[in-house]
Amino acid sequence: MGPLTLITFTPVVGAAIIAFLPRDNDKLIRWIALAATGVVLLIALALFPQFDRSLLGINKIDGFQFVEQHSWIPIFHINYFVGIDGLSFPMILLTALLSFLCIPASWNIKKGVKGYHIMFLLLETGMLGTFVALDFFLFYVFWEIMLLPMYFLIGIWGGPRRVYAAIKFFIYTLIGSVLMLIVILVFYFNVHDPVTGANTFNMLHMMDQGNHFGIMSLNTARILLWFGLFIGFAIKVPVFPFHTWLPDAHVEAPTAISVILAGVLLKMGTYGLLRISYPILPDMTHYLAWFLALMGTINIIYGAFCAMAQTDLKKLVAYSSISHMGYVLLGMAALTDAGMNGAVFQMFNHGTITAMLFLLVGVVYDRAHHRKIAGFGGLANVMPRYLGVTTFAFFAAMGLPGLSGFISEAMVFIGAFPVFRTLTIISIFGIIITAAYMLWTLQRMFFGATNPKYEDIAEINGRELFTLVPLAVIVLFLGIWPHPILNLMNATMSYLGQIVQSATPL
Amino acid sequence: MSETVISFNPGDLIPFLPELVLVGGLLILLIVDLIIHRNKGNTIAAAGGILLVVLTIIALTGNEKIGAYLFNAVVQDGVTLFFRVFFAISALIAIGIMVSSFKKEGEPFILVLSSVLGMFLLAGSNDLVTLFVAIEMVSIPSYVLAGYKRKDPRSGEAALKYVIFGAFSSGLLLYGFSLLYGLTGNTGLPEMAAELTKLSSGSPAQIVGLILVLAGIGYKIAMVPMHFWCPDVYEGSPTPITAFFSVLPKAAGFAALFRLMPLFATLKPAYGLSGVGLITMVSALTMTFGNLGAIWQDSVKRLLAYSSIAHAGYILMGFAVIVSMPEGELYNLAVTAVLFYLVVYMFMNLGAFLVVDWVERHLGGDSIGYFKGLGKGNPLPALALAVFLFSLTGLPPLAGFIGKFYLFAAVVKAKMWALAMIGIANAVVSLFYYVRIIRDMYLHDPSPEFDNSEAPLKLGKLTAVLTLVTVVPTVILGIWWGPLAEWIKLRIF
Repeated sequence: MGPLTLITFTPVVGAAIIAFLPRDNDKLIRWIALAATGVVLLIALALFPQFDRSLLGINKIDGFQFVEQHSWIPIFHINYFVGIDGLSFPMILLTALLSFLCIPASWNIKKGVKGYHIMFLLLETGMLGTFVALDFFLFYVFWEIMLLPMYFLIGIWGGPRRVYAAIKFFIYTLIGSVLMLIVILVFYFNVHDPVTGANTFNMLHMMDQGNHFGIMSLNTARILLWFGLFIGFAIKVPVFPFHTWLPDAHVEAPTAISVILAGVLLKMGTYGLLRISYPILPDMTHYLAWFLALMGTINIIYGAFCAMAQTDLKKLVAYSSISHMGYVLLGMAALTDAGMNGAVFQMFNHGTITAMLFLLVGVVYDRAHHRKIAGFGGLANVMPRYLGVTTFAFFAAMGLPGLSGFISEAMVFIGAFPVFRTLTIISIFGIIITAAYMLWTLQRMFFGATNPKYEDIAEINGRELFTLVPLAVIVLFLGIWPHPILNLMNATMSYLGQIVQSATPL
Repeated sequence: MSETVISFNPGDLIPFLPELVLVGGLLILLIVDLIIHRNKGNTIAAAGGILLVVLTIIALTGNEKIGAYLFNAVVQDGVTLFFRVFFAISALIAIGIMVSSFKKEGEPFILVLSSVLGMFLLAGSNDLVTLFVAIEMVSIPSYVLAGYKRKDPRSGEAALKYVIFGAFSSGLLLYGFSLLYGLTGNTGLPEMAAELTKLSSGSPAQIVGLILVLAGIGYKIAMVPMHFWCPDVYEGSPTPITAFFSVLPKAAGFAALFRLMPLFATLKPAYGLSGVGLITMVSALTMTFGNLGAIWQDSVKRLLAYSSIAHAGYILMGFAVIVSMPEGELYNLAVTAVLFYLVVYMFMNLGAFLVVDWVERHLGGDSIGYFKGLGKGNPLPALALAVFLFSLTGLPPLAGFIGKFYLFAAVVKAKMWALAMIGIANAVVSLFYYVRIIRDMYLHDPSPEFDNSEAPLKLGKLTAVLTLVTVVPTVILGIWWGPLAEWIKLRIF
């Protein structure tokens, strides 16, 4: 058993142990969940020095690391095939880190502690599995495994409109995934294994254009397939106009689940595009790059304006996520080295920064039991430490130089400018709008006269700082020295950009 | 034909062994039922169970494909072999579900077994006459079973509806048969298919005959527009009987349809209607109407009735592919898909009814409200029902997903894009109503209105065992279904 199997299924083992514990022993359940996510994080960190930064990955099996391949269902040529490259490894690190921090962030969950942690750990397995899978069937199974725990986590432990939000999330994502299922089947029947000649779910075989036959060699079919995948992934990102589930899900989800939702699940969409649409249909991706860039720009501007209009702090953060995922789309559409690296780096940074934002919303919600921006005011006087962390996170989200978000956004713009001049210029205005709503929010919440209701509100506590400080350190560190993460992905992402750029429609 | 000397060869009866054992067992059970007076239900159920276990073993071991026999009226091929095992195992589970409700009566079990006899015969029928007789053998005990709750007017209504619709559709079926017989002068199915192929395409009698036959069989599988009886009968019948209806006679209908497929394949595009077009159309209509109907239901039994209509629609997708391609890789895939789906459907649907029956027996109703907060006080049955419902929706890593995966694979391979898109749209719609029950179980609190509380209800040993017997395959077949697929492949091809 290789490290990737270990990392993927450790949370399931944790969940199984929890399932056999008495349901009222909350403390033990929390500690076991923390241990399971901790082991995952340790394994991920242990892989960090071993990871060979020079290997390309994407479509060559020797470019992948820690590969495991076993026959699973031979009758359908399905394999248990996992491995990581420079695209998936940063996502693994992000997932492991956020999942670990989310357990202490869930310490104040009081009802159904056992069920909550079982669901959370299953969710983590789904996320890790999706990032390591290299067999399309396996990928789909992990992709769908994320759905069920998420439905229950929002639906049982969420806010007042949780039932509605949970079903909306469920139906939206299911529409996307069943569409993807059809595309997977079309791929399967129109790609052959170069060795055996049989149909295959192996993603690497699908990426080799020489293995395509049948309708996979028709341009109309390819473009439809590309859009089928795009809709499936766009719902997860979410790309405008498929984004309406996101604000509802975020507002109702408990804090830790919002963190996972924004920090990891949204990345699934762009990860899917990069892992699947880009190398399997590179010609169509090249042909439709402008479309991705356009959608990215719309996301940036639309998300930012929507964020500005919000009165609910959590909704504001949710819309800011939509806006920030737009940078990812713009960067990856550019296909240049800077753009591709910037996109994945932005995925990583958005994961850490938005996690901080949601955790901070959770801190104030736990105390005031509401999230109305206008309902606070003058918190700076009573919660100075909270003000400090919040200001740091808001500045990071704005893309202040010296913090990690700045580097990735700058890379995206540098990468995209030569290719999509107008769209890039429009997108840059997104930064200004972001700064505007962030600063405005900061001002409304923290400055001015102290709301007498909150004069003796408790300062941010040690447990909350424990979840926030590591993220802040990472954001600051990568803002000054982004090399450790960029170095992980550079070879892979540049290579992927070249694959797509050199492909032209028939 | 007229020259054939009708001579009976006793050796012909050897492949008939499972049916003969069943007949013998049934006779013994009838006598036992007359003699004993105490614990009738349990005794007969236990004896019937043993009989079915024996049958399963015979069916599993005797896997010799000998083709047509007994004056070509019956055929023993892979499909016959498959369905014998299928019916024996599913009847065993169905009888298990019935035990808790019928403690004093032996007849329901005997009726189920005699219906199973008809199914065994149906699976191997190779001739219109055998087919029709077998269908009636399946149906007539079912009519009695539907009305078994004699004091409940809804049960009586169910039985009456079932009989009237059944008689009507038997009439349609017979009329269709007579037209086809008139065209071909033969009742043997392979001969008829051969004759029909020779016809110049699009004889009106052929089209009308086949449509009537489809309607007649469609009644058995609750295919739109022959599905009207289904929700009422399912709702009115005793729940364990509904569980039986939703799987066994339906699968028997599919077995019959499978035998008739070569006839539909002869229908070439004429008057804008081909065999493929016909089956595709009813498949799309059946799943869509089934799913849309299910959304509005408050009774879980009715909801599952509509869901079973929808599932018939999914299975018909496989038939659409079968009829388009009489042999080859695609045909094999489609047949595997249909049979695989039936197995999966059997486990998840019987399982779902098992839990519904259990709730109904303890709380007194099957309205969705009775399921409120079930997850709090009774985590295990609630979890089982959630697994069944998610599997019915078709979510991985559960068996229902693999079933749908196979069907969609066949449809995509056949390049039937419209059907595939309708299929996936339906899969999404179905999520909506299955999740409603799950939502009530987990996301809502128990409500005093339905006298459900957080206090755990009694879970009998038999119910627990049956739950395991249905849950375990539903989960295992979602993760590791290779062996079952290989087994089907080995039998059929």
